[in-house]
Amino acid sequence: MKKICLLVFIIFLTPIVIYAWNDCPYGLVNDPFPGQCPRYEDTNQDGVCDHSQSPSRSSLNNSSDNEHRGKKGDIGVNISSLDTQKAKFVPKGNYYLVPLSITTLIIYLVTYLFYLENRLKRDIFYKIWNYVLIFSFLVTGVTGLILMIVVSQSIRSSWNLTIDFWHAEFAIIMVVSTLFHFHLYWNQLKNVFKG
Amino acid sequence: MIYDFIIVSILLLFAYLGSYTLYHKNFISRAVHIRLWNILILFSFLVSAGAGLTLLSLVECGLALPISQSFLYWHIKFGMSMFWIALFHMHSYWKSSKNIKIPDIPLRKEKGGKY
Repeated sequence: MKKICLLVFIIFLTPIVIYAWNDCPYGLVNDPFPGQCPRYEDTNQDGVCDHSQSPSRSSLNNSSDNEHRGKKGDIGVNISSLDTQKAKFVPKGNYYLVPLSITTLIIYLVTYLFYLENRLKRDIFYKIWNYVLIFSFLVTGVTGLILMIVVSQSIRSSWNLTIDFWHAEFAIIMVVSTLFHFHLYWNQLKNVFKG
Repeated sequence: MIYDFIIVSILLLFAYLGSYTLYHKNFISRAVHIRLWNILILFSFLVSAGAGLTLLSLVECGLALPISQSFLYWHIKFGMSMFWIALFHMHSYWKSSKNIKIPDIPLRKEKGGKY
């Protein structure tokens, strides 16, 4: 029963990672410029929010180009298109919080399913997630320290946004892996607060 | 904003060395020493990660609130504390992780039918 629940959960989560189009959290359809929420995004520049419409063929063909432009433009460069929203909103940063969290969760659930199915040894299962946690912690910690020095010393470099981006990405993985760490060591965690 | 990285680092290092010495000289038990630092890492994680995720969510929504600056300050302050405490945490469990310390109660039902 536990395995079936896990499988259903994995299947349920997978589409959330795949969809970038037609996923308006408010259920809007063909929301025109400037959009009714701060998530407005128009990669194919047709004046309609991508989240409120299905991807067209041309946009699918050009998606790689737009993605490349989007990555550079999202964090601070693409200010002109957001001028009208300046009073309320700042340029959006795209840190993939939800897709990255859910992808990590799916990978964890798959390894957990393998462990339940006796296809993965318990020590290997634990080691995998301990190493994921250590690695993500080290990258997050080191990039965080670099950022702190850069900010406190007012060092301006083209690397600042890149470091900030990877700090956030690995921090998301670290936070999610820490929650898995709590799940793996739940009994020890409970004992911490016992007398 | 000043984050006092060096002062916080030195204070934490001395605190850990003090706690470790007390445990080593049998003034406190290993459980107390470990528990103390486990509580501290949990608390620093909750504050740092909570503030960090809040900031990240605000940035993803394209929102800037007046409270964002305070969130950033406490995120960094508790983040650098967590950095050191996490290193202490790894030091505390390094030997047992080499022999992979398995929890008392496993996550799955063993073949014998017992948990």
